[in-house]
Amino acid sequence: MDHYTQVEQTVKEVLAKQSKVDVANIKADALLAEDLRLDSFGALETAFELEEKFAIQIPNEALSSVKTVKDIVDYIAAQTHDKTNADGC
Amino acid sequence: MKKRRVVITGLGIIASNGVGTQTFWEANKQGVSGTGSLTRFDHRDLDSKVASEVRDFEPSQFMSPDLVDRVDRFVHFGLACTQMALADGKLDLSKEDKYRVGSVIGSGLGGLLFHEQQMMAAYERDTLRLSPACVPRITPNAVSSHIAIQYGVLGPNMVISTACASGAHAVGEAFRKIQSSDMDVCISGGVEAPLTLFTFGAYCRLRVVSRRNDAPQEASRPFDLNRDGFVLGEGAAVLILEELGHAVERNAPIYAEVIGYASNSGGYHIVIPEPEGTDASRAMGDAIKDAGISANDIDYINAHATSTGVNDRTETKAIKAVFDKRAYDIPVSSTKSMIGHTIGAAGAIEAAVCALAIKDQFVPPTINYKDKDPACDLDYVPGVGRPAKLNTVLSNSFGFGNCNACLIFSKFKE
Repeated sequence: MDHYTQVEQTVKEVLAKQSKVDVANIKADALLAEDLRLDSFGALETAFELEEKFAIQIPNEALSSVKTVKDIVDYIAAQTHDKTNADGC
Repeated sequence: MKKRRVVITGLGIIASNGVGTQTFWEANKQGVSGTGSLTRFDHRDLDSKVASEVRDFEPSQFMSPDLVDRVDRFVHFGLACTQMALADGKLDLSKEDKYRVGSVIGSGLGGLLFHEQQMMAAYERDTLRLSPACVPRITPNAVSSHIAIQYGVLGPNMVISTACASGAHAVGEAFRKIQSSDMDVCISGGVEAPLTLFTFGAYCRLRVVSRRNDAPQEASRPFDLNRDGFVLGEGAAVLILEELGHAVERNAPIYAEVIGYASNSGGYHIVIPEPEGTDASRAMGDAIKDAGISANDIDYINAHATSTGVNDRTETKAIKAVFDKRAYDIPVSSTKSMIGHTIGAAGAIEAAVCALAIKDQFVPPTINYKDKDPACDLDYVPGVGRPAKLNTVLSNSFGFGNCNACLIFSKFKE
């Protein structure tokens, strides 16, 4: 599994837990607020879990700019592509 | 203007000697101790190894697994007791005007478990990258708010924190708010989950907890000559308080009527009761006055009775000041002898005990009372409970910081 696919899988798993949507039904173009019903607190909890899993920091600006599942995956993949010690990727 | 009358129509109780109102009440009638050796955690610096732990409680029986994971143990207790109390009172909130229903709960300490876990992890990892859930999980009002969210009730929503008297103040303030027409129904009560390492250690350092580690079931022994402190316990009670007309209209079961309440302060010390008990006797007297009765009408006192040297002596002195010679004829007993000191839950659990005592016409005992302390010489109902004619009963709660609350309940008469 390539790095991007691994990140995508982990992001979908975290979102599935947070949004109570089955992981198989989380599509890359799903809108976080509208489709996954992620409220602002849910977004904070998701960001916290992803920060822990990938050993990164997601600044407020990045958090407010992501709209879809793919936006998150792109952001994390870019932040982690050269990391070797992060859990889950 | 004539005050509105307030009755208790539902109870939900969780304590170390019983989960569920009937299980708890039977245990109390029979003098069953819920206290044992501390099993939740251990540390070499703890000199007390005794606790009243709630063992037979599975939160997922009362709420979704997701909610179980999202809230602290004190909220589990609050939500579970609410569900039990609503079922007991046959109250379907979907049929109620939700603007007229409130949640007023006592908690002395809030979400300590999560607080401590986060704090310890932060120090271990040398980071302040804390969970965003810290504030909503730790804040004491999480309990009243989650109850309000769960049932969509839109009336007054608050947590009262007055240490060991929190639950009594919550019931008392809910009573007042129904009396004064701020609401018609209130989910009131008290909750506490204080059995966490840091908090347990903190109470040990105050040197107020029993160290009778070799005989834990005998550790909580209010009024006994050889008492050596209280036993920290966890638990909760929710009482559905309801305006009388509202309760009658829906043909609700009625345990008892709340007829009097008073609260005051000793203005003396943050952890020591005022030695003469003048604030405690004033609170009892004011509650009697509020109820429009006389001291002669009180048939039973559910005492604060923590099992510390100072509290039990002072409370006895205060009872004598209010009831004079009649103090010796009134049965006085301690729920804490069986379930330890549940801090913010205690006053609510004891209010529920008063309601059950009235309904069942039975005075529960003070267990472990064996040797007479010359300073504590009333009828403490030692060891064995007894049937009694109970029309009017008094419940005392005296919290650290001299936060005092007294409640009076009576047998319901139309």
